[in-house]
Amino acid sequence: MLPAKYRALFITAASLCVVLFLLSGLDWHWRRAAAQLAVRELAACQVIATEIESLRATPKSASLQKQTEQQITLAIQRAAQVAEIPDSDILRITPQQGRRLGKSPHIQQPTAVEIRQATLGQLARFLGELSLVDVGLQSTSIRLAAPRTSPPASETERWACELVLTYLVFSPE
Amino acid sequence: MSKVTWLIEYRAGSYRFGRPRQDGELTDTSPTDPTDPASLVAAMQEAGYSGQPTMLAIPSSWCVSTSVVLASRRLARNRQAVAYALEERLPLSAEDIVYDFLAQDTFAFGVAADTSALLPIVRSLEEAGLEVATITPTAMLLLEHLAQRRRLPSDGVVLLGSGESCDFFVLAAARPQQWRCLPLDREVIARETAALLLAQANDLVLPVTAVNLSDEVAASLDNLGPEIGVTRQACDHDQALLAGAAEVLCRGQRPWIELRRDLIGEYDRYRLMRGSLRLLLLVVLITFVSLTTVARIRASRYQALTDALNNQKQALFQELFPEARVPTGIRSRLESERRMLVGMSVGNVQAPQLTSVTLRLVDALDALPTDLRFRLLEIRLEESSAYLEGEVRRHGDVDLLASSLRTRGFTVDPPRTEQLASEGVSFSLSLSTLPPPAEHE
Repeated sequence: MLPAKYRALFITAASLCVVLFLLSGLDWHWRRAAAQLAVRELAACQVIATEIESLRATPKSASLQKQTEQQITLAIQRAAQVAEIPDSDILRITPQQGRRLGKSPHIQQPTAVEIRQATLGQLARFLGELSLVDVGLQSTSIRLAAPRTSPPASETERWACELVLTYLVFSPE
Repeated sequence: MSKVTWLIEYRAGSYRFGRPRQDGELTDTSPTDPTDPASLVAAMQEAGYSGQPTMLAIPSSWCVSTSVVLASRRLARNRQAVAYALEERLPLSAEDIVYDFLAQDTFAFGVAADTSALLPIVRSLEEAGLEVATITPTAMLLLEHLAQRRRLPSDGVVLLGSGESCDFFVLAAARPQQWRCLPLDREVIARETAALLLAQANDLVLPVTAVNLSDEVAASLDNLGPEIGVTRQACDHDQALLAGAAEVLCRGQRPWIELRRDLIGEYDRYRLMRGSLRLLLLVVLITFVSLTTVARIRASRYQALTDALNNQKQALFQELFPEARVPTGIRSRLESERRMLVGMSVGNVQAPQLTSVTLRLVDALDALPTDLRFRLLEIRLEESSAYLEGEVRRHGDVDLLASSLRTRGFTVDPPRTEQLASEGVSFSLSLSTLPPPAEHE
């Protein structure tokens, strides 16, 4: 091979080597940075995972999703069944418009329930059962009205009940 | 330095070549035009040429020379000034020649060659693969070699016979002052010497050194008279040429006249070190390659580490969410999950808490006295307030109810009572579950 070709070959090889070296250097730098980032990410993820496990064990005050009307109705009927309140005495179940609490990520989701008549004992069991539901239905308003006529002495007094059952939905804007 | 170098001489219509320090004589090649070095290159490659630096010795007929005296020493060493001074005495313009000169005090002896004639020759040699490192006239190289070997007087005339021509040099202080290429004719040489003798201002004997000249020429010089002292020398042309080339190519000495410059190619003092420089560059290249390899190995290790860490991260996510698909941004997903769980948790101080009124209902009913006869008709409880409506026997009984509720922490507004038409007293109580406002005295 002639020297001129050697020269061209040498320049090409040298340029290639320098370019490869620069690319490899950059690649090394990027991969090292990526590895350092991965170390930090893993450490952060481990911390978060520990917190998540801890939070999972704590009781919930809010639901993650809004319950459907059917789900709420079903929960109320089950609670009424436990409290031995006949279905026929559940006069109305009226889901109401949710309301965001200030600038918080929580929405208050109320449902109005009207019961024809129930004893205080039944009412207490009914409300207690509802508070055990996943979403944690809480009574935020109770109105009890006594019957117009006094019941016989052998019977327990029954009250007409108007309740507002509310649960919180965690829904960041 | 023991490197192999080459000498090429163009003489009498053909190229000749040899290796300084290795060959004793030059090898002839077939006659050719100087711009057609194919046969030369073939012969050199056959002899082992592979890109080593080469000296091109050109015949005297390709050169012209003259000398000038400049105004100062500084000007005598200024190439531009010397060029313009030489131009006045040369048949070519300064732009059309490649030239070099020897400066001595304010005196400059210059040698030039026609660029348009020399450049095609050099280009053809280079294109044929020869590394032309230096170009110098053959006669100047021989003269320089003889002068360095102290075989010449410092002043006088030197006649170098070579083939059909004779180079006529006038020396002063061991440096050439004049140079003419004469035909190898005893009359011409004698006439030229006589002319110089006549121009000499003193009566001193003019020493004439005749190198490789015939007896006839020497005799004709002797006949010029006692003012001329002729010394004859024999010198092997090829050996002297190879030795002179060795000084330049192997020892890096700059020749007196270097025509590998300007348009012909700048004189490069490192040209002869190209081999070493190439070796250095090769080392640099190997270093680059090594560093590149190291960088790639390290990069691959970092990549493996990153992959392992990412796998751990994915395993962590799958452990937390076995049924969920592993997202791209695991950390952000985990943070999002944590935010949601924090927002859903009871212990979250920022999350609003629903106040259940069930327990307050129980508290309120439990607070009512059992030894008092009364009847409740309506009970209303809100988040922070309550309302009781009912009937008692007497007005004062309501105060008992109110005080009982206060003992359980309720704040009770003053009760309203009203005598019923039939029997008993109706009442209404407004309660607050909030603590009573502080009294200001």
